[in-house]
Amino acid sequence: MWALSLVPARYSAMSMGYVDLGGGPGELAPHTHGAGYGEAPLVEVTDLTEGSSRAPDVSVTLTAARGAIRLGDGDAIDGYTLNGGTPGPEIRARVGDLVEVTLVNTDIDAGITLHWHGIDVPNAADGVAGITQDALAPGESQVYRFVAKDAGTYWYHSHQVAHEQVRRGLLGAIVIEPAAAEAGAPVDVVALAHLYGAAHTINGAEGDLHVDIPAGASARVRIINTDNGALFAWLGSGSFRVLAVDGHDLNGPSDVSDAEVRVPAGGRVDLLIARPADGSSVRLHLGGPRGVVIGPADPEPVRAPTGQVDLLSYGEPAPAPFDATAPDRRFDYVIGRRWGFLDGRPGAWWTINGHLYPDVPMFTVEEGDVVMMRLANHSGQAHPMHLHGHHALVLSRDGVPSTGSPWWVDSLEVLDGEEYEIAFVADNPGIWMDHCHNLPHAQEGLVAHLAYANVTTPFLLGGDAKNEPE
Amino acid sequence: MRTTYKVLAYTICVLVGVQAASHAWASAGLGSWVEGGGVLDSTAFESDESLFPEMAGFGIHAMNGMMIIPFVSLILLVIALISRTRKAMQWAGLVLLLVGVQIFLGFASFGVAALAILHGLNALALFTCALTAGRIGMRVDAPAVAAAAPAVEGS
Ligand SMILES: [Cu+2]
Repeated sequence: MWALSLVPARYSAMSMGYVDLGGGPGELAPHTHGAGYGEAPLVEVTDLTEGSSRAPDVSVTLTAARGAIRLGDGDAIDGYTLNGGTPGPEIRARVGDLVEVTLVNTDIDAGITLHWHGIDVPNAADGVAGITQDALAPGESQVYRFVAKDAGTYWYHSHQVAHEQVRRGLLGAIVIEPAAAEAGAPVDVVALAHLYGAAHTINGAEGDLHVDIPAGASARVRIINTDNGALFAWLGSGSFRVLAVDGHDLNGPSDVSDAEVRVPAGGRVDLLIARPADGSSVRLHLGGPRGVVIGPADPEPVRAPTGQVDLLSYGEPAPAPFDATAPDRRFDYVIGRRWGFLDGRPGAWWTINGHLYPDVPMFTVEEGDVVMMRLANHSGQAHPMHLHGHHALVLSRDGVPSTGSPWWVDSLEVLDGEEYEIAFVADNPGIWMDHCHNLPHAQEGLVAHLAYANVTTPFLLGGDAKNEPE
Repeated sequence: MRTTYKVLAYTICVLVGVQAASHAWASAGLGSWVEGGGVLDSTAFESDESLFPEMAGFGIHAMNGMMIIPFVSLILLVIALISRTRKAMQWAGLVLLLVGVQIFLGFASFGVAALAILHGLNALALFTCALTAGRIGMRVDAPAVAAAAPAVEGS
C-alpha cells in the first residue's frame, strides 16, 4: 500500500488515475488513452493555440526574478518579483484584443509558468507546468497568446510549485474591458488582495486603498482574492451592487446594504459602490485589516454584518445559453478525507470520489458535450474549486435550484457538507486542471483533470523540467 | 520487556503533555500576536505562512498527535501482545483505542466545534490510561492493583 502510493519521478498526466466517461461514449480506455477515441485525430496540447499570426494589440514582457519583498513594518521576506515588483503590472485589454505576454525567468531555480486564472484561453496558453508546458528554467522564456473574449476581472499567477510561488509574489491582475469605452461608466478600481508574510495588502500595499471620486459618482471595485482562504467584503455604510462574479456580469443585481459578500480563494467579485451625494466617504472592508475608502475622509471601520449575499438567489434569472437538463456527461467530484499514503507520506489526505491522488478520475469529454458535474464536500473543510479553461453555470446547491441571476463560476467555494450541481459546455479542447485553489490543498492531492478525448500532452509531471504544477 | 512496556507507556503520558503544552503555547502566541495588531482571517488562517513564532505549536500538535503518539501506542500494543500478559494487552488496547477516538475527535471538531470539548476531555482519559498501563500493565501478581483494572484477571 505504501509502495503503491509512490508517485513516479516522471509521469504523464494522461496515465494518471482512471478514465471517467461520465456516462458518455468512448472506449473504456487503456491508461494512455487518446488514440482510438472516436474519429477525431489525436491533437497535442501544443497545437491548441490561438492560431493566427496576427500582431498583438496588447504586448507585455514580464521578467520574473528572486527578490526581497519589503513589508510595512520594515521586515523583508524572500520572494519573487515580476518586472521588479509584486504584484506584477496590471494588464488591461479590450474585448477582441490579441494579448501577447512574454514571460522571462531570470533566476528562479524551481522554474516558473504563468496561468491566466479565469480566462478561457486556448489550452497551449494555460501555463500549467507538466500539462501544457515545461516550467521555464532560469534564462528561458515563453510567449503566451490569446484573444480577450469576455470582459471582466481576472488574474495571472505561476502554476509551477504554485503553493509557494503564488504566495511569494508571482501574480498580478488582468482586466478585460468592453470592446468600446462606455460613456458614464463608473470609475474603475482594481483591488487585488494578497497576503505577504502576515501583511494583508491591496495592490501590494498595506493599509487602505484610497480612491477619491466626486460626490455622487460611482466606482466599480474589482476585488481579486489571490490567497488560499475566503475573503469577505462589506460596506461601512450605504449599499453596493454585485456587478460581476468570476468575470461574468450578473443579471439585474439589486442593492445590498446589510450583508457581506464572499470572494472565494482565486475568485473575483466586482462591486458597484456610489459615493453619497452629501459628500461623505464610504469604506469597503476587505477582510479584517484593510479596505477601499471611496472619498477623501477616513470613515471608522465597522464590524462585518452577519448576513451574506447568496448568489443562488441574487439578481434576476435569465435563460441559460444551453440545455442543462439533458447533459451528455455527468460527473461526480466528491471530496472526502481519509488516512493513507500520499507519495509515501502517511497522513489524512483529501480524496476525490474516494480515491487518493494520483489515483483520481480523468473526467473525459468530447468537444460540444454538455457536462454536468456534482461537486460535493464531506471532508470537514471548505474547498474553493477552480476549473481551468471553462466557466460553469451553477444549477443548484443542496438540491435547491438557482433562482437568481445566471451565476457563472470558475472558482466556486464548496463548504463542508455542501453539494453543488454545475454545468458547462465542453467548448475549449485541451487538458484542464480542475483543482482546489487553496493551493496547499492542491499540493496535498486535491487535483483532477478534465480531458478532451482526442487530446494528448507531450509534457511530463516531474521529469527533467521538474514540473510540479501544484 | 516489562521495562520497555513501562517506558513506552510513560512516554505516551509525556507526549500527551506535549499535546496540551504545544496547543496552549500556540494559542497564547496567537493571542499576543493579535494584541500586537496581527489579523487572523480566513486568508491568513489558510495561508502557509508562519504568522507568529508560537504557531509552530500547532504544527507540533498535529505531527505529534497524528504520527508519533499513534506510532508509540501501536508499539506498546505489539509489546503487550508479545508478552502475552493479558492486563498489558488490555491497557495497551485501550490506549490505542483512545488515541483513535482522539484523532477522530480532532478532525471532526473542524466541522463541529463542540467536539473539541470531548477532544480535550478524552486527552485526560488517554493520559490516565497510559499512566495506569505504565504502573500496573505488566504486574500479574499484584491483586491490590489488579482490582483497579477494568477486567478481572482469569486466575
Ligand atoms: Cu481545498
